[in-house]
Amino acid sequence: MSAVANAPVDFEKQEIIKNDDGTKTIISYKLEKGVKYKITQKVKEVKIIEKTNPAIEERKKWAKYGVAVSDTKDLLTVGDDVPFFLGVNWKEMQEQYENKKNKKTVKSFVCSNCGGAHLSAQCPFPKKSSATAAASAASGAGAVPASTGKYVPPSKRALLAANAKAAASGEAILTQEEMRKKEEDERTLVFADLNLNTTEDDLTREVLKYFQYERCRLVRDRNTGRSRGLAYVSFYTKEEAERAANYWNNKGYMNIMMRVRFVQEHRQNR
Amino acid sequence: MRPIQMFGHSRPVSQIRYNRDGDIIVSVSADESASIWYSNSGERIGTFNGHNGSINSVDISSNSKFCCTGSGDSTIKIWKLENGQELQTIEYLPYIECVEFSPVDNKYLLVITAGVFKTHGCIDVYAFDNETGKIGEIVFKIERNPEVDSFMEFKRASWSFDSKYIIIGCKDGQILKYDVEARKIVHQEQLHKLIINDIQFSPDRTYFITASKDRFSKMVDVMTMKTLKQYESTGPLNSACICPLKDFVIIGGGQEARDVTTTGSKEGNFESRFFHKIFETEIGRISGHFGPINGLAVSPQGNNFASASEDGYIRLHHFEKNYFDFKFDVEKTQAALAS
Repeated sequence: MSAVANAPVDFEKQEIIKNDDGTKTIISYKLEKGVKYKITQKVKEVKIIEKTNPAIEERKKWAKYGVAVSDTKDLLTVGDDVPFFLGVNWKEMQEQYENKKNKKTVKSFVCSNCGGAHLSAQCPFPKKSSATAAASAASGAGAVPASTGKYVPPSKRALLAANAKAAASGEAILTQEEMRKKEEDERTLVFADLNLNTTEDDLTREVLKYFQYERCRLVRDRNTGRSRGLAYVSFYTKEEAERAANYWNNKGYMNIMMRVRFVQEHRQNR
Repeated sequence: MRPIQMFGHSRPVSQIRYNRDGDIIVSVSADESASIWYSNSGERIGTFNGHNGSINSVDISSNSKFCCTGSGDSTIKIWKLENGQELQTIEYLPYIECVEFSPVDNKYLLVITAGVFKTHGCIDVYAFDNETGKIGEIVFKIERNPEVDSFMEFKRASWSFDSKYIIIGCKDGQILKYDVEARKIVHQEQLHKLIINDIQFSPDRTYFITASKDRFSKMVDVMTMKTLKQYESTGPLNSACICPLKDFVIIGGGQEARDVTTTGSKEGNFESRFFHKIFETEIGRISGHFGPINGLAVSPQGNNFASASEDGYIRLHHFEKNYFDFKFDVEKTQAALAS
């Protein structure tokens, strides 16, 4: 839908163009709040012929008898949504579904020592003393220009610091959302050249079993729903992503060699 | 998946069956009535009223014209499906355990009577006419002599391909194979430890699945009588069926009704469980009933299945896309190799 400039149009008429691939393009116009809109729709007509057994059709005409004559509507109810997943790991799938339904998110851990995705007690790095930790936090905040005199919330300090640095070197200044995306891209891998039969479930169950990943999404064709042999996987840390890339790059999965790269690299060589 | 709950019986439903075209479900209950339903919408077409006791078993003729019910009031009745007319009644002394028509042409009607009132349990096989719905003379009987025979009373029986054999499940877990032509029992085996509650055949009737109280369900070949596969549950089983279209079996059951009050609600095992037919692993469960499942049936077309329970509900499940698309890991790698 796009707004159209002055050209005089007939709002009643529809323009239908037949395409070579059997689809139709319908172009129509409408007026909404004084703005003209051009609507272009691509339509595919599909004819479905269903054949039924004549005996079944005959049975559908039967009159009711017995107690069923006085049946009320509350005899039939549509039951609650029952989770039904097929697979060897049906139990986990069912649990995941119920967690999603109850909006229970899996608790993610943030280490107070290094900021990694594990319990503080299990941190592999040497423990910082509280004084040095405070000092490092102060040094992070130290980059904020103190001259403004305004209070800056801790969540925005890193952004301000980065933007101050970018401004100094003449780069573009980012918003918080862009910053978050950039940060996520740094720890996201692209699994390319996948077998088209691979599902998201396969990836999480077999390929990513020994890696700590945040999310995994398989790219599918919007029209057909078929896999395009591409998956984006975000890991918790950049190190973890590197580990996965080193392990899986040029390795075979489901009889095809995968190509595993970081997002930036993938976009450059597309 | 959203099942359709059909509440037409006020007491436990004892058995359900589909007709051969898969568009009609018939259910019988302990509330002395039988109901027939459309399988696509769950709408009730009619009820058969006339029995004076709980109905234990039911079967539909293969042309979907007649229906036979066997009841606890010691009678079997033939009904016309179209208008619910009662055609014929045969009276017995003991109550009826099971009725079943022979497949395809419905030449025979098999009736199992229980071993009470000084009888020892018996199978009567009547001649049956598919077009008029008339029960004829008794063709042959399978009788149990407690002094000679080592098996207990019959519980369930079903016809194999071509009406060649009758497979009989006994109350002590033994399975019998009766040759119809030779008129004798040709095979006897202790298949289960406890009562066999259900026997259902595959679509081609060359193998069958049993459900027993000893929480096992076994798949047996008719010709060799070898146990091909077995499926283990955590509670007693009342019913089992083989899915057409996909390589699945569904088994169901649960804590016996009289034990329900003495155990926790979560230990009931009132789910219908899906097993892979070949690999014997459990691949899914559908919960929803709050009483043990008495009857399970899959439509012969394989696109829906119904479960009937002690709680009086029938739940009708239409399978969704994930059911038809499902592939086991081995099948998936095979598809990957082919591509």
